[in-house]
Amino acid sequence: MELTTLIVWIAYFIGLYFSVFWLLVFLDKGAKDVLKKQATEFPFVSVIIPAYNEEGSIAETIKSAVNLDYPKNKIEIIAVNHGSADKTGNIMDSFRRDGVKVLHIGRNPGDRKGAAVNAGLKAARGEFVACLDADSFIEKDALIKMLPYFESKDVGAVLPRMIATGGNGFVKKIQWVEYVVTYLYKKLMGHVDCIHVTPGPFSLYKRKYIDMVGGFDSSNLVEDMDMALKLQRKNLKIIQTYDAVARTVIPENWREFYAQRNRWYKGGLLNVMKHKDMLLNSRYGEFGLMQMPMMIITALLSLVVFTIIYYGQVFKPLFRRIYDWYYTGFPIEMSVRKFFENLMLIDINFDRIFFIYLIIILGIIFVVLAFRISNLKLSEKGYRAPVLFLAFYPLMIFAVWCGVVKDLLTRKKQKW
Amino acid sequence: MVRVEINKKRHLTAFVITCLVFIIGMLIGYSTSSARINYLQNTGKEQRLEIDSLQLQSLYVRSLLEDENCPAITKTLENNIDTLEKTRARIESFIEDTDNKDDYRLLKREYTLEQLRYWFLARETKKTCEQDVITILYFYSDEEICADCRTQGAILTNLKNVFKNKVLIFALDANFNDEPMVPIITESFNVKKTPTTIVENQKFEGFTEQDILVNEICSGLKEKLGVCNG
Repeated sequence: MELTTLIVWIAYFIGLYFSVFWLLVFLDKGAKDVLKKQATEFPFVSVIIPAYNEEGSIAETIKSAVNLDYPKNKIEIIAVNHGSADKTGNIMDSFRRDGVKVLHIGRNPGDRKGAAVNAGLKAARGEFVACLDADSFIEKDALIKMLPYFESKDVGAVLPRMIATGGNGFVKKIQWVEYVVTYLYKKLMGHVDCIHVTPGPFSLYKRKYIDMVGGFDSSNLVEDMDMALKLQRKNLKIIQTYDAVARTVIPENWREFYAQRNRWYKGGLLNVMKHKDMLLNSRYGEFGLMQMPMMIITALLSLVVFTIIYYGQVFKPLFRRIYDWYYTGFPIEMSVRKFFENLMLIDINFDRIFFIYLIIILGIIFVVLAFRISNLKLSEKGYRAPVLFLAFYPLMIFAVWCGVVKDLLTRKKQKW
Repeated sequence: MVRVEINKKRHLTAFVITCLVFIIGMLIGYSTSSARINYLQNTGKEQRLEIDSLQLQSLYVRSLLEDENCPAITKTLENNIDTLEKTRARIESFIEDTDNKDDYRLLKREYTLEQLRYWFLARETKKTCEQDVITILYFYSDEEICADCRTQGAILTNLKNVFKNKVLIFALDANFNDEPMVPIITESFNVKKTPTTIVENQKFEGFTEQDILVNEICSGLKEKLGVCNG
């Protein structure tokens, strides 16, 4: 057996195994919230909004935090202007009349969002702390829906459901579907304590646990993943909720999307390296044994498999066909007709097609499930959106991974 | 703080289901390849009968000089050569698909012989029946040795589509030494490299562009076709 065939088989096996695994988790535990209550006690909560050059969305972000359904004397909003060059600082200051605390801090070389959040933490008095990215908006009732989950002592963080907002472009449509599917995936991960990221849009933490793990990493590319890993290291629970909703602005075009994902995936890999002692460590349960290795394996899988499948099954035959057509004067109509005239059932390579279709069908099942759960209409962005997602999303992720590997090999400096 | 215990049963269930699906996939693959081999064997048998019959018909025509039977013979001959060529292409693509290449070696040999038989018969019939047809013998080899063979093959397939029953194409794997007839033929035509295309008696070594072959075919045909004027 050739090496490439073996790799593809292994990849199919791993992919299939995890699809079945997550489907079993779903059948077992479902994906909606079981706990249906709202906070009756109101502990003090600090909302930290770090921002760097976000004049476009910061006002709306702060407004959404100010409008949170919560006793005003039990909540503080701390906006941190992380050395913005635009009007972000001025806009923040204009919210002082709503009781928003504004911090203007300088930006040191190597500083990332973590540094701003840490500055906010220093000023924060809350028993619970929420971080809210300056391009995200929190729904009014989110906080009172999330707090009851901290009843259990070992809960470190509670996450809202994220919904992508705005826009109808190609890349946006795909991400909109992606966020719907991601929610399902994260809910299932939460059931087996495998959540590996506590995202910027309104993750709610218990303050004492943030202090216990030493706050945020101020230079980390994806400080929210680092934080989740640190909580997992202490065997604290991270809970994904369904009923609490945060909306977030997503990259508008391919270039922005690539930049964001390049940072996420590269940061993700670097974080796995940083916490490599958790890899395959049974002390961290399924998180160490399954989720940590998966973060590396998915990178390898998407790279190797898509190289083999896309190159071998799509690009190579296509390129050859065009090359041959060039030498025969492009008899396209004739060769297509002859192809179908001569086609016999036995010409189809079923064992290859079986697995490709299986993967497509599993993908469709996940998308349909995710939409049924999300209460969002599949048709909201047109029926083309899920189809575009299934067709192009893997390719986009593959392209991002290629870029990440190239950057890591050439040790490219991170610019954003 | 302590973690929940891993649900081993769930992992085991997932593993068993995955294995089952894999077994189904492999069974499908297995039945595909046996269906392929079956098909090739049956077609091979048919072709053997066909050539026996055609040889007899040809002998009959020659010995009794009854050339009013020619159209029927040539028609059958052309059809069979078409089927044979399609099957040959299938064998090559099946070989490319499979990991058990040995399954196909005998079949390939059988078909190579069959092609040579038809080639002989076609040359004879052309003489007896004064057929206005061009015979092309095409020597190819593996892609690793012969990068241009695929494109050359595509050109010949296209020519067959254009000239239809005016050309008869016989493709031979020049390095297929399982069949002793192959080295004999390559030697007698002095084929030193692949691709080599022999249009009637004119030999073209190396990659030959479509236009050159079209001109050669046209100059050999008595009936002037539309393609030849353009």
